Amino acid sequence: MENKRNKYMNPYLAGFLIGLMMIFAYYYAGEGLGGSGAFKKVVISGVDAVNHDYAKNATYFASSVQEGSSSPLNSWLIFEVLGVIVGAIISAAYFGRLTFKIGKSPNITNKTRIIAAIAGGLLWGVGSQLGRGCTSGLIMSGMAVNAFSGYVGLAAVFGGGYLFAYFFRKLWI
Amino acid sequence: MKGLDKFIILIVLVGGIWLVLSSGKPNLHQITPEKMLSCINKQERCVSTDEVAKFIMGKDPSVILVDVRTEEEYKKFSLPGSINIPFDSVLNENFSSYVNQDIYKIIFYSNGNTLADKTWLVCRGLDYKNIYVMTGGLNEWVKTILRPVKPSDTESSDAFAMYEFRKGASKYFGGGGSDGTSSSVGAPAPSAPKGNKKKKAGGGCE
Amino acid sequence: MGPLFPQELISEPVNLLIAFVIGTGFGIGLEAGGFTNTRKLAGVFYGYDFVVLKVFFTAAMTSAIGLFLMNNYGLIDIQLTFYPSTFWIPTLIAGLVMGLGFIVGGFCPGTSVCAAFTGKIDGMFFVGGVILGILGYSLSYDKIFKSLHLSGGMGKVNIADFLGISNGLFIFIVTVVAVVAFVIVTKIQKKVNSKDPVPAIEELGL
Repeated sequence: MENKRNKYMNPYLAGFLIGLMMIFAYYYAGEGLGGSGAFKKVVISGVDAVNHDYAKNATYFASSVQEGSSSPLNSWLIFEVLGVIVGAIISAAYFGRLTFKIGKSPNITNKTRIIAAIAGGLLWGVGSQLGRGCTSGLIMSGMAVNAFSGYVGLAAVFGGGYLFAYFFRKLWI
Repeated sequence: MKGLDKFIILIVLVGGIWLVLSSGKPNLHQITPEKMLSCINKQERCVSTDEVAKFIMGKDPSVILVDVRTEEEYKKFSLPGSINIPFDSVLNENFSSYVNQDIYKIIFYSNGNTLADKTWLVCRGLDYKNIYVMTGGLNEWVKTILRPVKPSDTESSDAFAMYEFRKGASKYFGGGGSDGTSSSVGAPAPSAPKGNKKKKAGGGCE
Repeated sequence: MGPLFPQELISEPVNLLIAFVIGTGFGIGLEAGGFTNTRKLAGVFYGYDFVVLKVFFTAAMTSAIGLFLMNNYGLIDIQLTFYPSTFWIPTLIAGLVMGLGFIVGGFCPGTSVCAAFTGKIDGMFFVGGVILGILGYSLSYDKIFKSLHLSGGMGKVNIADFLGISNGLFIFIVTVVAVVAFVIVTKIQKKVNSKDPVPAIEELGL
């Protein structure tokens, strides 16, 4: 039998499934799906644990770490992302993809790929905070309710991607 | 394209067409007021207290604020520049000439939402144009503009920007700034409007 | 009716449980759609694999159609949801930064979580990068980013209102554009892969 690890769900079906989850998210919780929001909460609670006094007085943290408020980890987005992790593992296990690998073009070294991944992560970290969300929280959740911000984000992220694609083609092709 | 591709795309397209067809305007004369309220897109009907504050501060000539409470209540406290048309006299010919036009933006307000909503419904039923309701009424006005509360939830940036605006507006209307000091105008503290408590969801992917 | 949690129709623990279940569905969709494979993701920018575009737009349009249909039939009130406010200047700049991050790093935060936890080593480093990026941003927020973060605020803007058309019509137009795009990209993908074949993703990507 052919190896399942290179099989993927029909993209439209996968999109339909994600769309349904988005509808449930808005119906039950009143908010969209997110990715970077959970990262932010992790960072906030980390900084708070290391230096509570600093976190209490810095604008960016203050609103989430005041005395008496529940931990930033006790939130919808954190549980949602925990679910995402479990879902991804279930699916990867089903398709037999649950192994340690580095995904990259054959023409670059592992080291190059890792450095690029860290750099890309840094850019997303800054971008998602400045833009109030990432692909899921800003663009997809925004588009789901016709928010102007979602379409600005869509144009900028994909526009930016195509703008810079030429310069980084060696990483991928 | 494969069969499944076409099938899903077809579902989405049919959904899109259904959506366009279903968003037609309901027939206003045949349904109950409650249904009418819920059917009509809130954005078409509601103006926030912040927007009203902006109109007043900017002395916007295209806006008429209409107090639909009784005359006594109007005399005790009202928004600057507003006129008084009590609910029961909205259909009065003297007053309907104010309301039935399409030059000015008419914003109704009462203590809560109820009376202003009723007025709006009556006028909408008569096919009057450019009519709105100030969300939450004077209760909301006192809470948000005269005595704004410093935000403490996680969606800080928005909330803080709005808070800054409200602090300024509060000074303008003599509401005594940010904290809970009693306001200098004899603002009424009418009973809170009925209805379910609506907590704004916060968070998202920020 | 909906949204249930902001109106306190379900309790917090139930809401968190539902979050977990919804997240699981989301995670399955992402992984099964191929979003943990960075070369599939990057393919959208080079024309050899458009899976991102297909999944992404199908998801966005499915949810938009579903939500506004429910809105029209009174099953959910979109006004009560966490509705994103638009700050167009930081969003535009941040979008370009994220676009660059996409082309360099090969993931976005959501997909990197899936990748990291299913054994993609580059995904783990990407997650580390995101956390460092957020840490750097938040620690320098007061000094560098604050004014930019708050600039260009427009409030909660609905793009259909902004364009002056109905929500349903706008969504329908975007859906039609998306379907046309699906057909076109499928052709492009075939052409690119037949003319100058990028080594099969299966063999190399994972």
